[in-house]
Amino acid sequence: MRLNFIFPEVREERLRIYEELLSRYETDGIEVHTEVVPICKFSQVSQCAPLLTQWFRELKKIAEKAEKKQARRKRIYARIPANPQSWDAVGFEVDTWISEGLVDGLICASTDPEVFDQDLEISKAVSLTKSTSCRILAESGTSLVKRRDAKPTAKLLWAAAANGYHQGAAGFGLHDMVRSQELTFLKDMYDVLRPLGSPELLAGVDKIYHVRDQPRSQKTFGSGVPGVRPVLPQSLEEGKPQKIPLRIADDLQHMNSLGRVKVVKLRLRLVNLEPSRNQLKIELNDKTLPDDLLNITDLNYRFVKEGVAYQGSQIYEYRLAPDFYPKPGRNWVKVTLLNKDPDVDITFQIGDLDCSIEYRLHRHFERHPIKY
Amino acid sequence: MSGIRLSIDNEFIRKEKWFEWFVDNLGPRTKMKRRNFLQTLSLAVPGSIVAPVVSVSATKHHQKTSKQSKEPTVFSYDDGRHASGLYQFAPPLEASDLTYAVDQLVDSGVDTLLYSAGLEGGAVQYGSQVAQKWGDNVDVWVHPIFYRASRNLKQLIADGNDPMRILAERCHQENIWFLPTCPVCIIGGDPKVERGYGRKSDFVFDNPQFYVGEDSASQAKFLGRMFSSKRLNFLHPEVRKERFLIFEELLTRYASDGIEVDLSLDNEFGPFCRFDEVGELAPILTQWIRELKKVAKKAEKTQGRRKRLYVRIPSGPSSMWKIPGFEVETWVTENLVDGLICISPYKKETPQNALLMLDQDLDLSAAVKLTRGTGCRVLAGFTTFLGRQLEPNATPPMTHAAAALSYDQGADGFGVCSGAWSPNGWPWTPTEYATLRSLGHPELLATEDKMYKVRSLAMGKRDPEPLFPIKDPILPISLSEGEPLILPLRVADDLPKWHGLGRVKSVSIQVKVSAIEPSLDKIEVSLNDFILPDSIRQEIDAHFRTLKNFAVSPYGYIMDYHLPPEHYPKKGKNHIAITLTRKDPKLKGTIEVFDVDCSIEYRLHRHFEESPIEY
Repeated sequence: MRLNFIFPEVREERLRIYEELLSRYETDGIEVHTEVVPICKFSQVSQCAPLLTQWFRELKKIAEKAEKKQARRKRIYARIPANPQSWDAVGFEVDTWISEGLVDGLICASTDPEVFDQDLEISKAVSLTKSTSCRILAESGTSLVKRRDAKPTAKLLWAAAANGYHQGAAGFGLHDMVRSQELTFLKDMYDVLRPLGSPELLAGVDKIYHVRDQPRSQKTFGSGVPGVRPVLPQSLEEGKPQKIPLRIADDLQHMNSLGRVKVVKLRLRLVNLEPSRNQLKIELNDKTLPDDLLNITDLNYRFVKEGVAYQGSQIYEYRLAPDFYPKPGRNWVKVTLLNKDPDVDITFQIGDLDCSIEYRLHRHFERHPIKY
Repeated sequence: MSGIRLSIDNEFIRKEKWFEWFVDNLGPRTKMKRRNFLQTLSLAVPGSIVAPVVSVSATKHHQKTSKQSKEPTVFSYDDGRHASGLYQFAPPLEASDLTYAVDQLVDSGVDTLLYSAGLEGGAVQYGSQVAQKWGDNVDVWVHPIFYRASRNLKQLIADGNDPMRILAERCHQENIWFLPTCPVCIIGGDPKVERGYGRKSDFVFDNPQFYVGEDSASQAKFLGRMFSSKRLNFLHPEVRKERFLIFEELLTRYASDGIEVDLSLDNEFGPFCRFDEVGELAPILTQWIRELKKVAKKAEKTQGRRKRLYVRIPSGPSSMWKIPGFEVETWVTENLVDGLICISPYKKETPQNALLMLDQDLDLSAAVKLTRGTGCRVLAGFTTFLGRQLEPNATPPMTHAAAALSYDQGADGFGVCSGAWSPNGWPWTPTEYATLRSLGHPELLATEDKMYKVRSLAMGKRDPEPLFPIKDPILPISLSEGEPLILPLRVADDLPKWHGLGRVKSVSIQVKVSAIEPSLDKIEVSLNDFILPDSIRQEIDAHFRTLKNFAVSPYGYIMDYHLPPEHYPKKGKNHIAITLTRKDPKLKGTIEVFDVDCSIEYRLHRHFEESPIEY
């Protein structure tokens, strides 16, 4: 039922609205975005792509005219899937938009914009805008849908923003439909939002880097557009290592040299696996993590306020020593099921993988310095 | 109906509320037709209605099915006024306003209520027939709360709600031992100044000839605020008799489970005479307890209820007991007492000098040794005052550590003997209930989180001058360069065992040092002669560290050592040595050790974290 952008009437109808927003109101510009892509049939993408680019050219002319008339800068931002693989698939000639100066900014979103996704691949977009005035903003959806939190916590959001800035984003924002907002998400909003604009502040705040998974409530991923698939969950089969990418932004060695790092934890939630009956090898960047860093938490019928927490899961938590800290950028966690309990015929899974980082305000500053 | 005795007032019968009550309280298993019930009642009531005040009605309601402890094990001392109705509620009071003092204990882990019957000045707070009640001798009041307490008391008694009776009844309904308590030593004063408080009886005002008077003994200057020259001298038979009648009444007129003879005054100790008279006092006090025991035995027969005689004494070796003239050995060997409640001997408050501190490590060895093989029990009494910025009172881990140390020495029980224990306000919060639940169970305490503290004075207190000798150092203590400060630390936990099970989450030693700058001054801490390495030390800066409402005091550093298993403290005695190995010559002034703690945290299971998931 979506309208096809191939038709001039459809393009004209949209253009008139954007024109009005630019010229009749004292806006600072507009954001062009579409809830669904492509904006034509998949078979018509190559035909539609230059039409869309041409439409942007006309929009830009309108914006420039409005700038002169209102003496106010009129920006054109476009929301696009972050992953470059998607651009061709949906007919977005992003490189032309940038090179011709048709857009002032690109808002790079996950392939499934409503889903919380920390690990956007924005490096291509950043490299295309280098030496131009076009800005890249990273965006994250807010649909987390985990056991305790439907929405991302502050630590998760800060990690998402930090990953954006680390790849060269000029800013960060949230995509959250009002209809899905919850009071729990809003109550500490100021505290959560305050550091999001400042990579310097984000460098020293606690974070949780969480490998992208698929929210339980959203069975399909995106709109069928090619791009990044959710990394987790992954099945574990005996003798077949699973390599999982983990992107972080923190320069932990630097912060550790300042005595600022309180704790770095690498956590895997493994499903259906009984630790005493199965042998695992877990590596981070090709270093095997030793057992003396490991603490296992059993979640079998573990009751938390929200009910049973991740029934059947075990959390393998490694409190990483500085030698094992992950590096800024992409890291790899390799999980190998060395020996599987022969008495069970159940699929083992890696359900969650995250890296939790906590900082001190200063090397001698504890958050709760006295107990009495 | 045999075994169920009823005390029912006329209104109760007249309004026929009794039938509803009977059905509601005895439940469906005993529901019976109204006619049958009336027949049964007619057989049971006459004997009960004419029974003495001791009632009878103590057992009138249903007995709970839960088991009562065999003997008092976990007690709570309630001074009867601060954290309950007499002070906090405006008159008129209902019985239920007072019985909340019992209700708050139900299924809390506390099995015994020590309820204060009287005040330091001789007035009592129950419907006594032998002593003056609070306010009986007051015309014009000078204190609004004492006035309120007196009005509440007077009204309760006038309404037939003698506090001592209704509390005994409620305790027995809820399977809680009820031991009224009263100080043996009382204080006189100037009626022109103090009569308007109502706390002092005419007996103490009218008989200054019974006061101890000035004491030239050198120890007298070490006595606390309560042991003034106006305290009554127990060598006088009139003084002994005045107290005796009250305890006798508590044993015989009420359905108590005995009494606590409080030999302290507000948990401070001293002789009930001049120091040079202590030798004379000791056998007289013993004889007085003998006489009390006879009364208790007689009351046992009359009421068909065991009447225990507990005494509150200072913990420590027998030499401590001799200082105020307490012949504890005789009391135990002659079976005069059923239990010793041992509390810290050190508390002292005077305007000039105070000794206030948390004392977890009571020396119970003499009491335990003395009572083994006898029927006499030893209960450790914990005074919870801590005197710190965040926590004025002992935290749950501190309380659990104190209890564990007591059981480790052989105590039979443990209790809180601060008068209005309400560390998080009153009524009690879930934290208090979580604290109390395990206090009677050494096996549960074994894996409760704990904090063991080296004795350290409350903030602002200095240079204590105790009546009782102190063998171990009390912090704060200054450090001299190169001279180790050796501190004892007793721990009750078997850490190697729990570590073997993966149950130990963390063990840390925290040393709080004032006026130190770790980059300029060097400090070395060893535990049991092993120098704790810097690599396990987190230095926490407490200079102008501002928290809500205050800055942390004193300025300095907290050296937080996270111990690896090979350096865990051992069960029993440990020692910590703190040495200032280098002092910055550019800064004059004293570096002091303020607090030394050992914190132990457990997991419920080796794979069980308290907060397992973050999202």
